[in-house]
Amino acid sequence: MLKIKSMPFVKLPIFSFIGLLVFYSGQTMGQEKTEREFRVKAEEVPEAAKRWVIQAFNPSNKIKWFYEETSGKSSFEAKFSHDRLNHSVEFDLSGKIEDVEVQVKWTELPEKIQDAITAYFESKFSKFRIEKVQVQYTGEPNEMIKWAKTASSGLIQTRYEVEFYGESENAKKLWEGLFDENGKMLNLREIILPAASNLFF
Amino acid sequence: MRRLILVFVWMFLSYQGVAQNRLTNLGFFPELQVRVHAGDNLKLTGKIESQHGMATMPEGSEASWGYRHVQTDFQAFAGTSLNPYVSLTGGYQYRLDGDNEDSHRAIQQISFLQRKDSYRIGHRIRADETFAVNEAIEYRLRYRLSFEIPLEGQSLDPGEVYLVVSDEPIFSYQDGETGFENRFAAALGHLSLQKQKFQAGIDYRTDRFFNADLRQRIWFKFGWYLTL
Repeated sequence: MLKIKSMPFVKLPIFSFIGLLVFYSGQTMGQEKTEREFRVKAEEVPEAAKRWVIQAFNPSNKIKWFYEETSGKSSFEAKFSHDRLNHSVEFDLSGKIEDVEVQVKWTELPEKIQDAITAYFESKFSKFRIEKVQVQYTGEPNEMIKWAKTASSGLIQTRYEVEFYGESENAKKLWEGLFDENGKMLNLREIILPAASNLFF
Repeated sequence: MRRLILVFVWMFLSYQGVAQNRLTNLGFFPELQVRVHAGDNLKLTGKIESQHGMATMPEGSEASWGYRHVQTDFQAFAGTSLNPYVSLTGGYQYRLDGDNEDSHRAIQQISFLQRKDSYRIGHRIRADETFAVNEAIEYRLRYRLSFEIPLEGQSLDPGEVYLVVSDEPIFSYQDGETGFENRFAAALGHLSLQKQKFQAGIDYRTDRFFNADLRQRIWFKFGWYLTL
């Protein structure tokens, strides 16, 4: 190490090159949306969150807990299967319920929602393919428990999150669209897949 | 996931079953890969990979230890994506060969990415042609199946560790002779920034299946993959 330090910089082109690469890759990082999710033990999760899941769903399968950071916001997430559907329940750090997402098949959505979303796709894309559909439910904790037990969605806000592949004149991309309870598009963002060049070269 | 593990165990055990007089080589295999987006839909990839032998161990004989430079490959690729999942790539390789004449290689590949709920699958179909002085052209056709499995959640995020496992059968033809090689690799990786991955693992290559002495080469592989 001492030897390297005492050598003039110009004699270390390979180290300079590697240094530049690290520096440059760090610079580009600033513009990326950061999202991180990792497994946590149930003991690390607020009691209120664990209680809520049991009270609302009492899933027979194992609950997997995750800690998630999305663009500076942290949360806990419970993932489990209930009624053969993948459920994901998000809580703030105090354990207060934020939303429930249920993964469903496209054909299980109400017909009028399918029609509205399809009409949107057809207006924007020459070709599209739906890859994943989640129904998102939000509301007050007690209302959410009522909804979970009775499926009555009176005071619950329902939205639809659809991941799809869309081809337009200029682009062939993956998208995530958020649609309201009538199937009207609220938000559209491009899904950037993490680099996979380590798999192909 | 259980099914995946069984497939890998089966692949590994199947090599053990065909052993005859085995020749084993051990060594190190560092590689560096840099990828840049050069245009709307043009990706350039540069790669250096180098094999350094440390030991040769014929079955039933003493191991012979000692360093030797086996080969260093300089590769350049230009590719385009047909959509987020399918890419077409062409490339060139120059090989500095420690034992034989240096060689040139032309490479063509198509790759497919499959997304699953908690892992990704890569399919790479590649053809290459190798040109060396005083040798007939060698043609190869290869298919690599890779799995990238996050170990800290359901998706791979920055700062997390993952497992990558792959297998690649390679068929070759040169001057009337055919050959077969298999490459199995398993590595632990780390996505340190959104666009930077490090991997360390084992690259296990077997060839000369139809000769008296099956050869297996075990490389300790270290990779650094950058997307700028």
